Amino acid sequence: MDFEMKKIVNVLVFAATALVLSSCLDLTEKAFNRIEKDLFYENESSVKGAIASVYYTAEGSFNEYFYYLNEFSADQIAWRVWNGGQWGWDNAEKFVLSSHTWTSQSSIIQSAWNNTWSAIGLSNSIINDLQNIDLEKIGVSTEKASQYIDELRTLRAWCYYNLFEVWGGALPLNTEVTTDIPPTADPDFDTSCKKIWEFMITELDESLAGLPKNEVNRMNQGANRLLKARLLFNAQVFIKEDHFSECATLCQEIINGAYGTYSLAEDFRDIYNIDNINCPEVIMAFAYEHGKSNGAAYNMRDVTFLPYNAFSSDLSIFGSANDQGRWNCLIIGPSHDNSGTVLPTGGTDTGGKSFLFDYGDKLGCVYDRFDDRDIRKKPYHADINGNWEGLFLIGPQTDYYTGAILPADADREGQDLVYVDQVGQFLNKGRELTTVMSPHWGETNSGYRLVRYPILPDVCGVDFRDIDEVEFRLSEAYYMLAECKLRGGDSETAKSLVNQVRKRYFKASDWTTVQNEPGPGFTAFDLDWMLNEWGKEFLGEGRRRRTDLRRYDLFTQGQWWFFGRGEGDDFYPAKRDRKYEWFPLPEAALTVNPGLIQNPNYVVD
Amino acid sequence: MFHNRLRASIDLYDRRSPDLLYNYTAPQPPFIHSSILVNVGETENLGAELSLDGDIISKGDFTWTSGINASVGYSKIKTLSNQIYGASYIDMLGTGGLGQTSYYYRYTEGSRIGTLYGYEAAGVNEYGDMMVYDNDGNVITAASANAAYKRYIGNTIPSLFLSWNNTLRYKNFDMNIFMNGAFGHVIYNSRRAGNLQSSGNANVFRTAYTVDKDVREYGGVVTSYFLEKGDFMKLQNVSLGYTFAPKNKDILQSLRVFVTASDIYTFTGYSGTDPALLSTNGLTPGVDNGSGYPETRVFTLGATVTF
Repeated sequence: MDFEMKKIVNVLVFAATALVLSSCLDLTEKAFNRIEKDLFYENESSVKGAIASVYYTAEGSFNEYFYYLNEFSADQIAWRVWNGGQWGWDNAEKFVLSSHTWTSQSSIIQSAWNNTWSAIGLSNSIINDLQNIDLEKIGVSTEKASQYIDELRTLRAWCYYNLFEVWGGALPLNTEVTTDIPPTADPDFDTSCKKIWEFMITELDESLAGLPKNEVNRMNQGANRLLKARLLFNAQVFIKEDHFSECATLCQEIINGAYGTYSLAEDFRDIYNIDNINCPEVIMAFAYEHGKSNGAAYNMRDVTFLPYNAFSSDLSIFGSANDQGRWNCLIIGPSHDNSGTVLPTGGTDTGGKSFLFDYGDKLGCVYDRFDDRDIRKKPYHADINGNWEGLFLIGPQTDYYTGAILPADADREGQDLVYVDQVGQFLNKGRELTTVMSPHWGETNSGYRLVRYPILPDVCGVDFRDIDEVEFRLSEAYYMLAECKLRGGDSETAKSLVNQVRKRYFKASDWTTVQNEPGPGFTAFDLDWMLNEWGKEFLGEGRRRRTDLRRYDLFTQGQWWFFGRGEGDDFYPAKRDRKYEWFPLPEAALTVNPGLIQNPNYVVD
Repeated sequence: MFHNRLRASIDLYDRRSPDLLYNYTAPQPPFIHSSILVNVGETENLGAELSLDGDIISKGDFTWTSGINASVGYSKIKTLSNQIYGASYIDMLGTGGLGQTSYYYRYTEGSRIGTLYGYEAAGVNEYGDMMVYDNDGNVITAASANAAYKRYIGNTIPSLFLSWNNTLRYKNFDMNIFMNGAFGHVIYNSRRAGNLQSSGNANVFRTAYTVDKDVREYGGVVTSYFLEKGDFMKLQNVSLGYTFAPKNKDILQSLRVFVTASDIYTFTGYSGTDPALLSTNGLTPGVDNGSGYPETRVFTLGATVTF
């Protein structure tokens, strides 16, 4: 090649290289595993879909982990270990909640934390999106967008409420999409409680206007106000301030229909039936549909109480071959101790002494606290038309169609399954039987069981997992108002309000006498009685028992079942350390967030 | 040395590995998801290898060459945090089981890799419950123990790896004996812990009724009760051969017949299966949880023919 050609070739090569290199130097990534918000929001359905994801996230975590935190630590529901203290023990993961011996390392605390902040993070993210995308392009009016934002703010406030009940002032406040890690709201625990409490009240007040009325499966005005009422009602516990009269006014407004048309269900079963969205008492319920809802959501519904063979194809308690896994881990707090001569099927001949009548406990002893005339105090049974009655599984468990007795498993393998209202090692497995034992020492048939949402025979065509989970209902407003009145000295109005709800549990002929009776174990229409009524009305609903006990200062200072009884390693004090009034921040959260300040009662020097 | 009859070499190494990938807990709030994969952390690997070879006997028809390879070393976690992502510790290798949240390993900055984290066992009580020590030396049940009582209870990475090779020749016979071993480590016998009488399995180990008959349950936590010394020396390979040198080299150059046996015997105090099978690599070595399949003893009879 002569010199000229070489030069041209060189130039061409140089040019070609430069072109190639420039594209090589462009390193901006095109991510194929995510969709930016400008692409994602196409129309109003996209917005609804995004918001649905927050409901979905909230369903799973609250049902499971907050149920554990709020119910196991209280007096009515317990996680019972069986087979000689081994099956269900899980490293004391849930037992620490029943025995008030948890630490910041407890895994339940960690999981509740993570799941809730995911829901809050999603809410923040969508609110941010709605404030920054081109609404016109997707055909959503600014008014509609602001309504969606209000819905998210109320949902977020509800998430905060759940966190706050558990952790109080140790919480940080996070309302933005950011990578800055928010610290605890205030270095002083009590001041921080106040800040967060006020934040929730403000959020609820400001987001009220855009909410619909009477839309059951979404955050609506009634739910917003009822949540605010809860904050006012428990203000003594949360921020050491008395807001009972403000709460009473708000509850009365709710009852009067200012935020939606509601009335008490005449048949209590309508609250838990498959068509409960039509029940006039239900204010807000999370929409469930098996296969579409968050799978974790049904984990705390019924199946936690049921034996493994509850849904077998050949023998079934309910006439149903449902595939939802059974846990056999939960029981309602036993009403009787273990005294008497041991029977071969477990329990004793006398049925043991009653914690309510013989020991004088005002807490726990769930079954005994129900009046014998109460229509709920029956073995659960549903006929083939879907009419059901009773709430409990007691005594011998039989097949729905044939009446054959179900076999027990584990420690009582080979025997009939007969539930007893006592908890103990009647076979002396792993421990000698003592008069009172903790839920660590149960058997497969220890404790009566609760059927909160009805399980119908398959011929009815209803899957219990499709029943919407009731979160807010009108009875709560009646009870809050009643207690406010009672605390103000007006026990007559309190009694009358509670009776308006209670009436549906008795036959008219019984009601004439029952309405003037405070119930088994109680002698007057006083605060003890009020707490008892809360317990019966909201049994197993997984939301409130812990806070109710705290309001009466009985959460750590009250005695039920095994607290203050039992022997040796099985002894738990009648009054627990007050530090357990609040839960500690999970250790893992503290590690990654230096701004979080652990509740001072849990700081180990 | 010694007219080339003794040969030795020594290697020293110091390796740093930065920018390791690990799932860190993402702070919630503000993140929506609870973990995030980031490049944080550095490990350090320090050690020495010594190799010694000697012609011990070299007299006429008989020779015996022997060689030893020894290697010592350790690995440490140098850092676990950077300015943005921090972890004061990371837990690794969950013990498994329904709802279990305990881990075999807890690594902090500066901790040696392979150190197990758990409670110090104090035997069993009259009910068969596992007992452990708290921080003041008191004996309490494992079930009531506080996580603050956990401590470092043993290292699963051997402090010494040894291999010993011997080649002997006498006239046309040749024999090779190879042994290898590891020393200075413990093994967590998780199989033994999981096969006690209370395990719920239909078949359990015989030890459940002999050595462990008083242990009702392993306590649900990691304790030193099931730690056993993992020291072993294995007769890995022995081969004996005879070489024929045929007079007529037109048909056959040479013929060697041999017999070889591998994995002949393991000298060890460990009560579980072969300690040599347990991995000593990675961040979570030394837990015998039953996934190792025993090595087969192989006998080979063969001939090498050269045309």
